[in-house]
Amino acid sequence: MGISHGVHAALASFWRECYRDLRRHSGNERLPYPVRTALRDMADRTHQRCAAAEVRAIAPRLNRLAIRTAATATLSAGETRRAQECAAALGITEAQPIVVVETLSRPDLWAPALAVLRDEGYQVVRLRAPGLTDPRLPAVIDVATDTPDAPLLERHLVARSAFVVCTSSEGQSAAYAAGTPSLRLDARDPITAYPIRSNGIYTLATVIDLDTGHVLGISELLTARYFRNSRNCGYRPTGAEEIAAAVAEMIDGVRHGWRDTDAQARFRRAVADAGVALASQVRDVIEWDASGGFVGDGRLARVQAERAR
Amino acid sequence: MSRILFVMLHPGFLRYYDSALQALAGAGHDVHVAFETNRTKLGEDAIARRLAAASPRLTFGATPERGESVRDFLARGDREATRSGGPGVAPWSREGREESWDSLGTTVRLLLDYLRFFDPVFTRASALRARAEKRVPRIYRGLVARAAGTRTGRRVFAAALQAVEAIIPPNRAIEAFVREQRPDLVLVTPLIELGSQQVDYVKCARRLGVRSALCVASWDNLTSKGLIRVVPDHVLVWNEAQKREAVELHGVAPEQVTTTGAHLFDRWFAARPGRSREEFCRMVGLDPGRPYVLYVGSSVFIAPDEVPFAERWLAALRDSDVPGVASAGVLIRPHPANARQWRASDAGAFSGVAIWPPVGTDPSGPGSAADYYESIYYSCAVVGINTSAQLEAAIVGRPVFTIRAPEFAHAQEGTLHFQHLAAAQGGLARVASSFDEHALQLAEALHGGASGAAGRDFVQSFLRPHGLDVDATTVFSRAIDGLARLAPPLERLPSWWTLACRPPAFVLARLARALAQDRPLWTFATSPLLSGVIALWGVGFRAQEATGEYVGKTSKRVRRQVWRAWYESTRQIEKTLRRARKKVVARVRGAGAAAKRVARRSVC
Repeated sequence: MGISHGVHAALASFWRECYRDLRRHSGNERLPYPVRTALRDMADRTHQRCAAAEVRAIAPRLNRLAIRTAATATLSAGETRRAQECAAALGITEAQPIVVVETLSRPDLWAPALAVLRDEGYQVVRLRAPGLTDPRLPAVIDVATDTPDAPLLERHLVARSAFVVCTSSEGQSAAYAAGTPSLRLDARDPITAYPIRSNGIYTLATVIDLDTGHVLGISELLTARYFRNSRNCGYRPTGAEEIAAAVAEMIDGVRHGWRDTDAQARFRRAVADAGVALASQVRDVIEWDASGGFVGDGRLARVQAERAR
Repeated sequence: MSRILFVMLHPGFLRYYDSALQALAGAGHDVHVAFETNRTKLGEDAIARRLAAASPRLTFGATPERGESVRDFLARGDREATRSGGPGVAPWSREGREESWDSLGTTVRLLLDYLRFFDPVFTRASALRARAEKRVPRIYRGLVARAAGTRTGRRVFAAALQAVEAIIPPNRAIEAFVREQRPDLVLVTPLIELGSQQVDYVKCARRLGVRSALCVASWDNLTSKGLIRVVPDHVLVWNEAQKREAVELHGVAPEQVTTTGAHLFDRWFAARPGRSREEFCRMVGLDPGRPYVLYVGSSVFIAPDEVPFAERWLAALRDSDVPGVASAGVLIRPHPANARQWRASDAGAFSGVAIWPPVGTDPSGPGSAADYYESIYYSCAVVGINTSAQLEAAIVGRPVFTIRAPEFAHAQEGTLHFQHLAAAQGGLARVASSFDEHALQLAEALHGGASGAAGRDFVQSFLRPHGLDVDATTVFSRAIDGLARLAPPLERLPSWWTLACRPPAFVLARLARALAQDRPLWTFATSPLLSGVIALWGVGFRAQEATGEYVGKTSKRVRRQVWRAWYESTRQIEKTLRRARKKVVARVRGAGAAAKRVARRSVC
């Protein structure tokens, strides 16, 4: 958090406390009615100041424009050699292209996508978190992430990978840093996970209203109401067919270049517009630097973008 | 017979004590159950109505209202809350004093509860510590963390807090309530909720010379919640393991502890299925021809995100190459208080899986207990993260399994009561560290290799320590009966030092009340200023209003008088003028007539 953010945070705190005091006094029936009314008006104005200061106090987690143009990080020759040796020890061959996946916790959902990857000649490497109880999968090479060489090996594998499949913002960031295309699965909202670079694709989890069981449409996810009420939502992972279609789209993009369909371009515009519109209401939008009109050059997976029409 | 006052936090606790209350009423005791808060979301009040209808010796009501409940205390500290306040009571008024003492009491109890989780026993209980920390006003958190760094620090701090607790006078309304009830025995449950104000009932009972006892409601109560801050005369626990916890973690003397067994499970020993397996399986949507595994959901604290785990588990089962596991049916039974998240479940995508009862079903509705029993009875294995349903499965004789998962570390290794479950510590559940290991364990159960007999020892030691055939409700009611018959203890009046310390402690109470607002410290300087300015504004406004009123009235009167004077004078002038005009006109007319006469005469 920068100094200006700190100052704004202090100001927000000041206005909030003033607001609390004013609200408290405005309910004091011993005071004359016109005074209470005036206090209530003052409290409302103070609250607006507080909200404005709170918005200014939010330190963005990332700078989308900077990430779009940032140079990729590379390993030194020595580091690359050491990482290659570690990879070879795990059975990862240099000759065959690889795809790094962050997690494969649902074999049932992954089976069609793994078949696609295998048919296209990719080695699938799973970065396995310590303590993970997920089942071991055939033809998937597990790389433990709690060994001393793991950070180096991870960077090497991500850099070498044809593309990365991840479910977290950390995985996405690692792909940005290495300049590797990324497929982010099961994003919980359309704005924060939007891929910044043009070689990125993402899919949205199916969002369920837990009170009613109603499935929220993709357009409903671009409203302030959804962001405010996200605690009341449950998430269903992306289906097997959609994962396979998104993986096929990634392979196509890696091989033949990245193209948007009309639906994907329209969805990007809708997300960018929503970012601008929601900037003053939704903390996440500013935090994830989506309020300036630029959200990213990536796209929603074609299979979902068509559905979002 | 004797009269018993049973203070419960809310009607939900009746679920633990309904059979015991009936037994006590049957033995001729008059029992009045008083609830501190009302809760009806899971139909808990229906049990109270049923019990009241069953016996006139059982009565139900509310405890007296407090100046400030724990909920009010926590709500005052909510920085995000928007609310208008009244003028507030004067600190020296009776209400103001009671509110201040309540604030101090809640602060001290919350601090003690937070402090206990720094004990080395709770090293891995980070989630429990965080839960206790969340309730403590921010300003104290650093202080506790620093004081709790060493064993001496912890002891000194705890002793200081206990001393303050001793100084706090018992609540007058509660004392009057207990006096009015004239009980021979005061029972409280659960007493160990974070910041619980039930301490005041124990203090009042002491002061009035009434015997008091804590009834420990559940298996995790002594390890996952707060501290018994003021020890009642007796503590009734389920088993020897809980007795050890009461003695070692809460400082209760061993002779004060009585083990009774877990009376709330008695009905499970007597239950029999009312339907055939085929009927049951058809009802829930499973294939009756295949054995099924029952997955029992856990509470919100244990498994806030249980659905993704359960789906991974299902995927692992269906993908398993261990014979019988992939084809076994699965019945998922969500925890009644954590069922909502199952609306987002993808379990329907797996074959041979049913979620039952449907989300939103009333857990205390008719037939729900029988449905629950049958879902365990007809299963061949029960799997769960960490829940009391696993104890019920052990009673029914089904093998119990659990899987260690990183997302539930806070609820497994991070809680002491999980150690009761873990088979390595002599518990009943077979714990697996991976899905592969778990599938092998399940296969054994599916093929009849694990009959659940291993759980019998656990059931005897943990749920029925007086013998598998000995009804725990009978033991519990006899224990209560025995306590009620004991001679009342001597009234314990407050010692001289507590009385002497009360005036300075009241300053502390006012401070605690102010700090409970959880506001930044600078507001303690600005807030009075702002209040002063607003008060002056109010006074000024009233003065202006009053002045305006006086000036207005006077000026109106003067205006009216001036108007009247002017009006009357002008009327007078008009009158005079009119008369004068009349005279002139008359004169002119007279002159005219005279002139005409003169003219006529001259013509003639």
